[in-house]
Amino acid sequence: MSRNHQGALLLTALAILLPVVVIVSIGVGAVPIPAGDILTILFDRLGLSDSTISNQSALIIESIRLPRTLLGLIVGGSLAVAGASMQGLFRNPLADPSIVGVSSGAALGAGIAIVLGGLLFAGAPSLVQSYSVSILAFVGGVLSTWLVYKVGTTSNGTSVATMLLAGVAINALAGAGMGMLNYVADDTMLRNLTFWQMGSLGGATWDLVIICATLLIPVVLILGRYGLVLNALLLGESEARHLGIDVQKVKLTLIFLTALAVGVSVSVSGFIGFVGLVVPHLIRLAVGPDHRILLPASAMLGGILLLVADMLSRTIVAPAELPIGIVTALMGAPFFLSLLWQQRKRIV
Amino acid sequence: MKKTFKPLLAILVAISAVMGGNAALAHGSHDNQRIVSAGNGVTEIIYALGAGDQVIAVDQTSTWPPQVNQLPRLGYHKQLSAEGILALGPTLLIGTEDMGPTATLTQLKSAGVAVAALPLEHTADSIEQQIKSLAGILGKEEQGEALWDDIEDSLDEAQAMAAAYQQQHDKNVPVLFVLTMGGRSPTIAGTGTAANAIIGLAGGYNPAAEQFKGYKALSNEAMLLLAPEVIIFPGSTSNPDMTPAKLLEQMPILKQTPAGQNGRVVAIDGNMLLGGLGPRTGDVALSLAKSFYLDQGNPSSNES
Repeated sequence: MSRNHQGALLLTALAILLPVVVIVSIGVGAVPIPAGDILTILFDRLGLSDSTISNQSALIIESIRLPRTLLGLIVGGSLAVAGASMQGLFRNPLADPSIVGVSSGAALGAGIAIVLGGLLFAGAPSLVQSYSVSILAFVGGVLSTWLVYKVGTTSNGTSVATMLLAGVAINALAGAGMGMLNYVADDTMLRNLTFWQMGSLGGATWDLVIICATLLIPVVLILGRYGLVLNALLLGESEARHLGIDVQKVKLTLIFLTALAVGVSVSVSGFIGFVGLVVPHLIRLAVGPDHRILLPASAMLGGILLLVADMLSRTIVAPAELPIGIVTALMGAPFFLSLLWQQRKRIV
Repeated sequence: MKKTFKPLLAILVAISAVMGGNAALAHGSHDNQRIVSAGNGVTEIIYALGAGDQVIAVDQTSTWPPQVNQLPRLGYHKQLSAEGILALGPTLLIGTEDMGPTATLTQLKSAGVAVAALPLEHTADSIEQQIKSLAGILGKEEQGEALWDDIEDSLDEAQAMAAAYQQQHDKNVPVLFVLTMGGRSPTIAGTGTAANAIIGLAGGYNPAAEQFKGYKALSNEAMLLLAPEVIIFPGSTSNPDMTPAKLLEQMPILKQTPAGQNGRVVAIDGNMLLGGLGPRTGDVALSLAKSFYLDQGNPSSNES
């Protein structure tokens, strides 16, 4: 069977699996709700029927599981597609969105809000105060990415290699900043920092889902259309230029969209590692490096994986919840190690 | 689809908030509540008021009285899971202002669970407030009065000892709280910590409180300068492996302080300092005061 066939088959399989996982995710949780009731509640809300399901079940489906499921889907898809784009742009299978400094910048922003928020936002309106961590995480992520981009860019265009080094430097700087914050933080702040760095979809509300959907669904769709361009980039930058691609513009667009996708994701759900790194790899192992397949497939598999991780995170230790970053890292880290193991000859 | 959802949902939430909102608090069906408690201090007060049999789950910090260790655990009180809590079928969630996330609390309120978030400060007034408001919520006003009177008596006695000492020696005993965490450099409690509060309530004086907030690792020289005459550390029931001798072994510099030289190193139950000061504060403060001012060796924080 040809690669193209395999790709089409994979996309179809994922497109079928995705709604199944969404339905399971709405059905699974600490409170057992029969499938029939769930369907009735959903139809009821759509105005298709009139039911007498208990208020509590309806509330759990509508204000807890449904927003959480949609948020996981959007965030997982965004992280994975951003990871695939970065791996394509840097022509390095070990790249992930944090390579351009977006994650460490966002972590520093969130850390500043958690530790110094009381001082910084003392006079701010309460709405700003309650979202201060999200706002600063987003600003930090976008700022650090912009800095990395600026360092890597001269009049001759953007050098991917320089950006890589700048990213390392920014990550180190942000790490030092986090260290300082850890030093001045009290116990409660420390715990909040730790939990933020482990990520959670627990704060999902309809407001957040709507904000994320508005910002991220277009980003995923636009990134999904860069398949041919990234395929050309695999040949090398000058070859891509000969094929008539405006490489500089492509770099700017991809980096901007990645910063937006990861910045928004991180600001609503904290830091969730490994999705952006592992998902594109799984797809490549299955159907090869054709970005026309890789990008849409990564988006779908990212959503699926994060939903599965979230289901585990909210059921394993009920009535408590396991931070989702722990689950994704437990699923992703062994995989990453085996990848390094296979690639070690090439890396050295 | 989402657009049609939103207004409908808002209406639903509004209706259920009106119907279920704080029914449990308002109607005061006191003896058949199903209480979920988030915060060690709050949990201890509920048990001390005699409402422990209504508690169905506690958070990670609640470890006292021992029977709470058989209950389901909610995890960290700032990362509560709405559905996990609803699955337990509670009527009332009690905790401190630290509870979160906000989304979870909102969802619980909409589901008809009454939520009480008590203010959390490390002061005697705050303990009194917590006891009185919990007694009100649980319909245990008499027990609340009695409990607070006991605590207040102990605290007054401790302060009286400190005052007598102050008159004689023209100073209070300098006390440091040393927090050891397996293998990492020990930290000292500064201002704004529960440990600092308990030193003050016991009539001691924490020289570190003037220098920094929260917990900080100090250099050996800074430690000598603070010259504590008594050192307290989390041990006893919360950390049975930690003995005064072991602490001095881990931190040799302590041997050079007056406290180390005179062997005045005292273990207290570290759990009572987590999640707010609770009803044991009076006993612990009094036994600490005795060790500060009468030098009665190691107090046990588990007298009741």
